Amino acid sequence: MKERLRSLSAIDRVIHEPGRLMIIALLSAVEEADFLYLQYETGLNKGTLSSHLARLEDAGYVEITKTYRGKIPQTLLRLTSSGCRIFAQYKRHMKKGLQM
Amino acid sequence: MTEGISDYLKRPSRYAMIEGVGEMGIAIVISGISAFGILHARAGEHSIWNWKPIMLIYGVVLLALVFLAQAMIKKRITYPRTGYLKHRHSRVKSVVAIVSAAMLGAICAVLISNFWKHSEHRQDLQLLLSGLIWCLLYAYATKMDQTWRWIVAVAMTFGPLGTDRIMSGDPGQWVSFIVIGICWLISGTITFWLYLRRTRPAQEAP
Repeated sequence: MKERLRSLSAIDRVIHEPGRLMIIALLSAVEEADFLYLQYETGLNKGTLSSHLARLEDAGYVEITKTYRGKIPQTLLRLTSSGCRIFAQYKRHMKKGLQM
Repeated sequence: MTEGISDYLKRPSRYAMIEGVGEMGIAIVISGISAFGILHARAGEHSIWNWKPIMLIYGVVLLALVFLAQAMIKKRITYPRTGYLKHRHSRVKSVVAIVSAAMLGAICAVLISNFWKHSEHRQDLQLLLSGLIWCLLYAYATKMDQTWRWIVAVAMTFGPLGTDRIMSGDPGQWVSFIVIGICWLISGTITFWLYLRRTRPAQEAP
């Protein structure tokens, strides 16, 4: 029991927030995606999505590249290796901690 | 919670079929092959349609055209509306998928051609089985996420048999194969129309 609780307390708070968790889960399944795709799948507005991405970038979990698609600016996002590792760890901790 | 996360993990793979372009591509390939079969059956012995390398050339051109058209629609319509994503390609997974699909295809072909060898309803059962296999493939590809897809699935299962009953003869089998292509095309067109109605081209990130 103690070990399970300890497993829950070891969860990364940055990706535990539902909005950021959605972003990390989506990015973990692709090589890269743009801002518009994340907005479409998560249903978050531009401001909220931007602030979540900034937080994930600061933590070193997401890499953000600004580029152009023709004349339209495009923001490409990909999960870093540390982001992949932390997401795998998160899933493990949640499974272990929520075992009934 | 875990279910929610696993749903998000599956979304990128579903995104490939979001606007129906994949379905239309399958429709064009099936109809193209069927059209070739009809031409092959009806053409004279010295016709270009009976020249052996033409099938390979025709197949390559057809696949290339479908691939280019899909890429163009994705670039011009899908990406500006619902965003761009690049799938992660694993060589091992691709090889396993190709080998499994080839094995499954071979098993199905053997089943269709040999299983009811001595049955008097052999052709009917073969057409029904091939319709059922296409229906399963359709259900897997589209996840049957909308109610109207069930109508397409039923048409795909029984359409080839019904068409064969109406049109007998050698090209009749190819025509019944075209019915499967038409079902994919109708489904793809509806999906595309719904996608265009639901989405608008958006400006990019701040």
